[in-house]
Amino acid sequence: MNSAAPTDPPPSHSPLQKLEEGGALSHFASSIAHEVCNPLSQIVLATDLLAGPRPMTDDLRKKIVAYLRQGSERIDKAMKSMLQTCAPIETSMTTEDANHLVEAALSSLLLDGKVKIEKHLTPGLPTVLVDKAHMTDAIAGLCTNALDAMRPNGGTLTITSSAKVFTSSEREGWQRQSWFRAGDHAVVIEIADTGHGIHESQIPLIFEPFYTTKTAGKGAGLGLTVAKKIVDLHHGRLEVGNRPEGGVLAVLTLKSAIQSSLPTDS
Amino acid sequence: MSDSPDSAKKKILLIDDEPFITSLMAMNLEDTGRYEVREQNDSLKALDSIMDFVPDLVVLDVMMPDLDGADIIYRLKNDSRLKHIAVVFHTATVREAELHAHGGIISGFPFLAKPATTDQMIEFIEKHLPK
Repeated sequence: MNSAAPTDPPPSHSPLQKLEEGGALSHFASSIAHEVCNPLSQIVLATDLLAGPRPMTDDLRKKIVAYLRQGSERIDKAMKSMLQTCAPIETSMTTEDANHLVEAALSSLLLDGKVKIEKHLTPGLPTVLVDKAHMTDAIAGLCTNALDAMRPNGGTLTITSSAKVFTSSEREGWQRQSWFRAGDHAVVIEIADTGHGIHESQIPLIFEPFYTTKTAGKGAGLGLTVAKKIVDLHHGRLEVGNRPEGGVLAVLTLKSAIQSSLPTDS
Repeated sequence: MSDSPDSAKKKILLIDDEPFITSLMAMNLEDTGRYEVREQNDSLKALDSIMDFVPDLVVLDVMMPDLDGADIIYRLKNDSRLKHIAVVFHTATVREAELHAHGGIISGFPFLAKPATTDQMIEFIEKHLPK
């Protein structure tokens, strides 16, 4: 059987064309409206309060300033995230140790005392060819999602790295557009949390721009979209699903920089 | 601000997962002296709040975690104790032009697009308060 693994990148489309093809443009537009119009509403209402009859006290002034500031910061964040999602990503590829990327991503996280980090990093992994900054951002984004899923009670974030070689049968179980072929060496990074998990019906939506289960103002829902975009750009694979024991498991698979000379099924 | 006696004030319940929005709306509405306002930011507690407060009108957001506006209206309209309560939607998911084309009504419910000024909100509330 011929492998369905592609040998060339898919045809290039603008991000908006891709969204239109997936029928997601209206969802995208409505999500942008939600992320911008809510804080805008806050600003309009704060202005009304300022112009209204209520006697101005120090406390009220502080509140209004906080409302205005938080509203404008949210709009700024939403617009930057949207631009980041739609903009083409430029890459500068270098050969890296995946464990170093994990360590760099972990060091960029804002941690509170309620989350325990467990690392199980396999030494001596094959190197990966990546844009170091973007891939670190993608791993950090997945970890941030995991941390957010465990707020406010906390939990354990477990990050694991390992090496694998794809077998033919394994390859067949993957989606047709997978870049991996039998015999390919890969590095697998797994990020597991002990949070509330994702409702099964929502799993197909998680990579859609602005899809979020977070409460208002806690995230625009672009973390996974951006991480997926970066991983796709590296011809890697990102899978996110629920763990049987609870919480979410994100599995990031990257092709090794040095490939085996084993015969493949292509 | 000219206060109506408490008994004459209309009871408005704001259900929205954005606490800053409900807090600001509540202050602006209360400053008219015409409304008694309560807020609920947890959609899972929305029906309890309605039952508790028995508002004249509910101003309901659409996109919320856990239960969205459609879930809440479905449950409310299927509860014989609550189905008489008037509900209007205040949401960022529709645009003014879209609403205008539908006469401000979608699926039988009045909608007001965010962002709306306090004056627009008052006009909207007054139009849909049960007489």
